[in-house]
Amino acid sequence: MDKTAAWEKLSSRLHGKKRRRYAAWYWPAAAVVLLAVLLPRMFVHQQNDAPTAPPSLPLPAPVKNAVVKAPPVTPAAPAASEPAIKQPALLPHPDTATGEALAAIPPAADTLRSPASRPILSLDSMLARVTTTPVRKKMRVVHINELDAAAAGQAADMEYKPFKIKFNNPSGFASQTIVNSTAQPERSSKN
Amino acid sequence: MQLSELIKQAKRGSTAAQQGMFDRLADSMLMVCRRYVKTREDAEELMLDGFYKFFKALPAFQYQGDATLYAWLKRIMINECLMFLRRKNAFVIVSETAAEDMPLEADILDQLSAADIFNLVVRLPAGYRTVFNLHVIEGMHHGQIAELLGISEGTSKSQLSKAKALLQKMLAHKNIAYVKRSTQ
Repeated sequence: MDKTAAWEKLSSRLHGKKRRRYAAWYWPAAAVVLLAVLLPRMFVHQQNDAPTAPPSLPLPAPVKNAVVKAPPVTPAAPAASEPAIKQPALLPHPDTATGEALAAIPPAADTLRSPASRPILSLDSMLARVTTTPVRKKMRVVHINELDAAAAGQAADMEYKPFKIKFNNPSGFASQTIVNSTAQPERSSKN
Repeated sequence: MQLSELIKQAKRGSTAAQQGMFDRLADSMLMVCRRYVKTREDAEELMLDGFYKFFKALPAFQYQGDATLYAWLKRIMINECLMFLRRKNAFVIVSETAAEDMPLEADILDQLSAADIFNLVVRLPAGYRTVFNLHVIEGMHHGQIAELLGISEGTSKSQLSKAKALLQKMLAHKNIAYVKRSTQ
């Protein structure tokens, strides 16, 4: 038997404590890494489970090139001194984006929200939301007498474009084609 | 250096003292292991395992003479060998109650050297060999052997009897061979 080789083998086993001591640190290190990965996930998960605003109160979608007549907001406004939680009440309604309308908006939408989910907006973010509020285009209402003859004729023709009406009732089926206001409607016999 | 001094220094953590003890005791402990397992490689591995346990338990050891040290180390080695045989499932003893004492003929043994006897014992099946070693060489009683191996006392006796019978056959064959060789 090669005693030297055998002793070296035995000695490496006997004095291999250091490696085992290092191995003991792997477990706490692994636990720390695991916590570092899991805790943010749990935090995000809890935030997702928190109650949010009712679905009947949609937030306005941002629209580019929106024209808003909003009164200028001064940076030194008392809004800075007011509690930040009341600021969302100044958000404009999606239908009315004028400055007067802004003041008339009831704060119900924001007061209904829980304090946890209510966004705390700064002055800058509030301005950004005001400038991107959508504005509906209002069509001008014109009486037919105000139109010129061609446009009026066209409008009249457009009003009386032929169309077909179909009736379906328990007594039977019938259809009626309407050509214009003066022409008699073509009626089909009932089935 | 005396063994007692080596033990003192080894208890303090001296690697040189540990190596000195290993050098002094390794050969005899290897022979103990070789009596229980067939291959030399297994015996060496078991001897190293035994020394590992010995050095680990050395701080708790109370030195009371070289004989106690040898006995303790030998017991560690035997336990290692028995555990190895159990792991390998090589140690299968069929329970038997009938036991017949078969004494070995002394004149046959006289014609053989220690090495020849050792080689014959190693060639015995694991069960026979273990009981033979524990009873004839280690000097254990059948009750002790039965407790150690988890068998009945009768089984231990029958295993020993069969081991002796088989050894006699092997010795007889060897004797014939010697006779044949001497007549040529």
